[in-house]
Amino acid sequence: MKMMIKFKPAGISASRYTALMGLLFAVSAALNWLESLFSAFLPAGMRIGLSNIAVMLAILCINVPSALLLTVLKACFVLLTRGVTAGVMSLCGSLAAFLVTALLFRRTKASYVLTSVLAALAHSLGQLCAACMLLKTASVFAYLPVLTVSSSAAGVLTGIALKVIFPEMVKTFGSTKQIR
Amino acid sequence: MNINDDRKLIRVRDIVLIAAVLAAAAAVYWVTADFSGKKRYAVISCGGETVAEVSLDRFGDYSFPETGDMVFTVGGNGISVSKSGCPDKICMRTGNISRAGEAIICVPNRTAVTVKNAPGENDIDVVLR
Repeated sequence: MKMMIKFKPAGISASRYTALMGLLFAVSAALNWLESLFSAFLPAGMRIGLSNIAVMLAILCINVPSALLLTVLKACFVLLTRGVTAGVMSLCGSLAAFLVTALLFRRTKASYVLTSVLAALAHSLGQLCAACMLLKTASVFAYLPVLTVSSSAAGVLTGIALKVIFPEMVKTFGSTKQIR
Repeated sequence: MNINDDRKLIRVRDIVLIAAVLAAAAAVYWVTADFSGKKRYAVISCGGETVAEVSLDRFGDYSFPETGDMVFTVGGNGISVSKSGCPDKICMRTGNISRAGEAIICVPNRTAVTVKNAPGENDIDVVLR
């Protein structure tokens, strides 16, 4: 039997789905670029994780496979614009964040802020593990305490953003019953 | 009903949990950063191989063939990366590190600088590997 992953949920037309995914990917790419502009003003290595909002929205209002597709596409965008190292780091971080978000948003009633804080922490941890493998040294985990503080702050920001944006997404693209 | 229809922004127990995580981070920071040693040295490694060990008393600029165009500067505030050709310059923006346990990471260059306490009375100036 052929294995097929269903990306498009049943309650949404193909054109609407394409538009929604295109929009979310465009937003994540644009936010990724915007973020790299003002992460220059933040201490070393810190990012707000704005582009993760698109993936989290996909988990909330489309489905988990579509969100995974967006995560991989986002890493490809980073690979093309910022090089192999940044691409690998982005993929490891985003995949960890994606797993945490999918689990909490699909299986629990965890709040927006808690989910995005834990996702941001997972993102940092995933990136540190990637750096640890690339550098073959555990010294990278010296960054963990600092990244924990910045991830928590970033997670609170993205959590509030999600709470504001999600109802508007539902208004524009249909109720949560139609597109789950 | 969809699981996302009545999701809360934040709960009190979430604040407690996040505060606990932050407290744990602070604890790890104080435990791992070792203030005790008077003599400290920086281990510069590339791809897991130690390139050099430099005493933090030996002020000056250092560069090594293994780490390409990177320049490491030892000064009164510790050691920093003062020049690097990597794209994001995270290593340079980390600034000075001086306490044992602290590290500067440059992922594109696969390079790490880690500060350690000198063992016993050994006074290392520079050790090249």
